[in-house]
Amino acid sequence: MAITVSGIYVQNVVDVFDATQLAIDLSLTTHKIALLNNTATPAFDTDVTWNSTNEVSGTGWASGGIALSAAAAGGTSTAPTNTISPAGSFMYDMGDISVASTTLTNARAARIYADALTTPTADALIVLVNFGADFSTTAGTFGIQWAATGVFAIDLTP
Amino acid sequence: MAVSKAATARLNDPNEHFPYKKADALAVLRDNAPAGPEGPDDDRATARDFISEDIIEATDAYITAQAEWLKDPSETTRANYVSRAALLVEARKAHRSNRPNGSTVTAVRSPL
Repeated sequence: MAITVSGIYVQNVVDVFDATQLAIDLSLTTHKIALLNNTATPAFDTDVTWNSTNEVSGTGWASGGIALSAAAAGGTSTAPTNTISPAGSFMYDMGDISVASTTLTNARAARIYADALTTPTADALIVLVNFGADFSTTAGTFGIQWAATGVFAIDLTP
Repeated sequence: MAVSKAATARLNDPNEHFPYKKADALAVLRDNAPAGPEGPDDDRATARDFISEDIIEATDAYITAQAEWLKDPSETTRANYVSRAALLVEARKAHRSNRPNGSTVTAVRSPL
């Protein structure tokens, strides 16, 4: 039981493209970023909805996570973007996460999910980012510095 | 093009990011100056590790363009929205140019 990889929640991607028409707008900032400990075992093909099992929360980081509209430095918006970068690839990117004055224990991964979505899938999961190690804070800033390639990039023209 | 109910709802959602808190973003840079290598905080990440003035400016322009597109969906506002998104991504890339090809987590402890 552990988190070993990062990934996108596949069933929800299927539901975006098929007749389900799951309305995930990746530019929304009402999406939340929540933390997981390493007891979790992601199932990217079948997990569709966020829940609090194995969640890491604490002072400055409530259960359910932080809205993307307030998760950047100074409590400002991470301003998610959807762009073509590099050519032929879709990139989902946002400003770095920087949440001050947190006390958190053993965060191993972050999940971004559509908190405002209620139907046909409530709190639809979007992506999990594996940190590769446990991270804790004591009255300090919890930050995620995204890669130059963003939160994720998918090569659509391989 | 007509303004959709979803767009109007988004613009009026208090949990969304309109307008961008540009002053707050600038304040966090001002009030969290980088520590010197010999300073007491040299092992701590600073606000400038996460955001730059260029990113703040580009974010402000992007969010403004996004709001204009949602209020008035037209070819002009759409083109500006796409352009501003690309410029914001470029500002982020410039800030991240020395980062490894992966995300990095910084869990900063307070001074003991």
